[in-house]
Amino acid sequence: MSGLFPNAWYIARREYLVRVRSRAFVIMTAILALVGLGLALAPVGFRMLGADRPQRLGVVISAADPPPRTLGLLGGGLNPPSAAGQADGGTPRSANYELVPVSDPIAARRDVQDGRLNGLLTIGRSSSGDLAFDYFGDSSPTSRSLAAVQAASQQLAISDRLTRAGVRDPSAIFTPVGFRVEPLDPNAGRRDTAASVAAYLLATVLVVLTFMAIMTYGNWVAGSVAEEKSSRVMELLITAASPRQLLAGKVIGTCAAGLTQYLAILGAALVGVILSGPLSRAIVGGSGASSPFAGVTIPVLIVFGLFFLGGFVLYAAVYAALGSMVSRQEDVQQMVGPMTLVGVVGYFAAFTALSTPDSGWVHVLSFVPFFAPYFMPLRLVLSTVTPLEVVFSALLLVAGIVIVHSLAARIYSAGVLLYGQRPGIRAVWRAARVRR
Amino acid sequence: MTAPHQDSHPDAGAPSPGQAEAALPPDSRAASPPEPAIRTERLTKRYGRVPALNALTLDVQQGEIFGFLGPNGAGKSTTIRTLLGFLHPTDGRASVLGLDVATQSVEIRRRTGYLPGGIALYDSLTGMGALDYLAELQGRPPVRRAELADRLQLSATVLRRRVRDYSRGMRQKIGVIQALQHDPELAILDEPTEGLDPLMQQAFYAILLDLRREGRTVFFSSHILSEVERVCDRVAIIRAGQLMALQHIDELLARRKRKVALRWRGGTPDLSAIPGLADVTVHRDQVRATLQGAMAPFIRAIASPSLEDLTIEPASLEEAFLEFYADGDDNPAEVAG
Repeated sequence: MSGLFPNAWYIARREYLVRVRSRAFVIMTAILALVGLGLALAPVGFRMLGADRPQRLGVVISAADPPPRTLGLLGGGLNPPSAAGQADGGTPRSANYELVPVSDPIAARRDVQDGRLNGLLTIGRSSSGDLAFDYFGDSSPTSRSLAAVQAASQQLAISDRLTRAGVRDPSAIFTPVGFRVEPLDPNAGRRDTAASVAAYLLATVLVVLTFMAIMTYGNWVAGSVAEEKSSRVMELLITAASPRQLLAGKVIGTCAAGLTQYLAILGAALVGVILSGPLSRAIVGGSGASSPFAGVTIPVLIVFGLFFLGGFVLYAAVYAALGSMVSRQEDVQQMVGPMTLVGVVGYFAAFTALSTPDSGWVHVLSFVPFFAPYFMPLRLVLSTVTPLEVVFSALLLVAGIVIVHSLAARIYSAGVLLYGQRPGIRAVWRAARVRR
Repeated sequence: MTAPHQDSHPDAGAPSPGQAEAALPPDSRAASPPEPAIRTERLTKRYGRVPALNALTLDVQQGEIFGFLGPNGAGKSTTIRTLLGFLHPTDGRASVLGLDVATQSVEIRRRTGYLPGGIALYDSLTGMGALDYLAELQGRPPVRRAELADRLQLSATVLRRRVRDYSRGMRQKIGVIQALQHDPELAILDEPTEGLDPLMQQAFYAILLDLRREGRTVFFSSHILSEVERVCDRVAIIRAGQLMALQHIDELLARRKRKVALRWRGGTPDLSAIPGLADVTVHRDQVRATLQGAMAPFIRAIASPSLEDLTIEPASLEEAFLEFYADGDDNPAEVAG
């Protein structure tokens, strides 16, 4: 019987060339590459626009006997020296809050309203003798600055109480204490806070990339199978090549076209990341923002590449089979719906897993072929995975691909030929039982 | 010129095709009577309750040109698609080149040249690109392509243009070429002359005759009888999924009726002695009748100086069909089961 190659290769080559040369592909790739570049440069842009500038906070001291060094204590509370930063001798953080002593509260309120000040803090004393604070400014419940000001005020009030209780130099109480974490896995020891943030960002990016590839290019596969069927080109193809060859060729060709688009976008984003360091130094001074690409290592790249490809090939085969079951292109979306749901479930589960990468269910799902492409790279970046686990999961994924492809080929060979019949599950099942 | 037909009883004691294949090495089969290129046995296809094909039984011998005739919607394409494994028979069985259509269709398609009815091609490819692509997939060199393109007058310039810009006839020519370019042992062609102008139809039939000379088998469908009679060895006529006739073309031609009209100067001679002339109506000097069978005795009988006008209408397929419809009921072999 005829083997998979070289016919699958011929089919893949045509599929790839037609896809890559199409105007829609070129335009879409260009737009997405620009978006990638833009996203990579966004942190620099935010800095230029002043999102990173210190918050200006007006302070009115209305209390008759304010604690000594009020502004100094408040500033210390708002701009704490980072414990982590001290521990690894990292970059000193620039001040996030700038305190402006205010003598005219009325004018200061106007300044807040006009945006010259970000907030106005009035420090008085209640009848019990404790310090009392009034804050005027942005009060949305999620405002980070409000929470910070409140915490610093609390600190100031405690310090004031301690002073009144006779404690000398109470500000020393708030000096950060030494706190060292020894992780269970000795390899994870190199991770500090900044690296954790970067790892989290990286894992997020990987999950999103995988999801988008599966959805977008899976739909390409389903759409082009349905098109060949509805235009009846399929009748000629199926005479010259076997259904298995057509299915494999279609998946490989579309996968290659998708990867081409992906590499173009990632290339543009990478250029942006490389440029953002020098750019931000040139424009705003100081170091660049923490980049998600900091955590990219060779093993991460290899594992992500493998699982990305594997996941794509796995899902694409299902999409091809589903695409072969419709007679009209308009029905494609309806038919691929259930599969899209599987992809979306994996996607959201992966997002939940980002915050609990060590939990048992994440462990389990990282071995399930349809979810491993999300979960295995995620675990590798955020948690600890033994090489054996990666290999085992990869083997399961390969086994899944083999099984799904042979099932899909049956549905496909039945589906592409059922012209004019309602693409019911029963018709396809009946036809799929017979070996072709 | 071809093996005797119409013997629908399988040779007594002969093993069924499946057993023969298992028991005999391929070359020992050559000694036994050659396997038919296509064989269907009570082939039935129903779409839900709607019958498209009803107990169709026919053989196509190797090396013959077989015409498959019927009006639109008679079940021609359904039969062809079943033969290529695109449809599953509801009942009965069929084999092509000794291979079962239900289980070995991939192999059948690999060894057969196929022209689908209403051919569709990738619009973005050039004519040559489409032929190259299909040749790659067919896995055999397109040895006949140049000759076919030449005979169908498809120039290199045209082949360099995109299929998108092709006329119906050009697409059809590409379809014919791709079905035959790799010189398959069997060609199954669904309405091959559709969209070809009369000159190209002639060229196409000349190609078929050459194929037969080289021992290839051709099975093609058509709804135009006059086309088929020029090239076919045998024809099957189906209507509403039923086989109405399976005959040598000579027999079919002999059965065919033509309308004739004659006008005489003076009295009308006696026409009753002419064989095959029936339904005679006389209206003054005008005679209308139908003529079945040989033309020569009729011409000889009417040849006289007083014959003023003679019209012989070409026999249309519809009339041939009407004939068979009328016969259908008293043909016990074809009564619906």
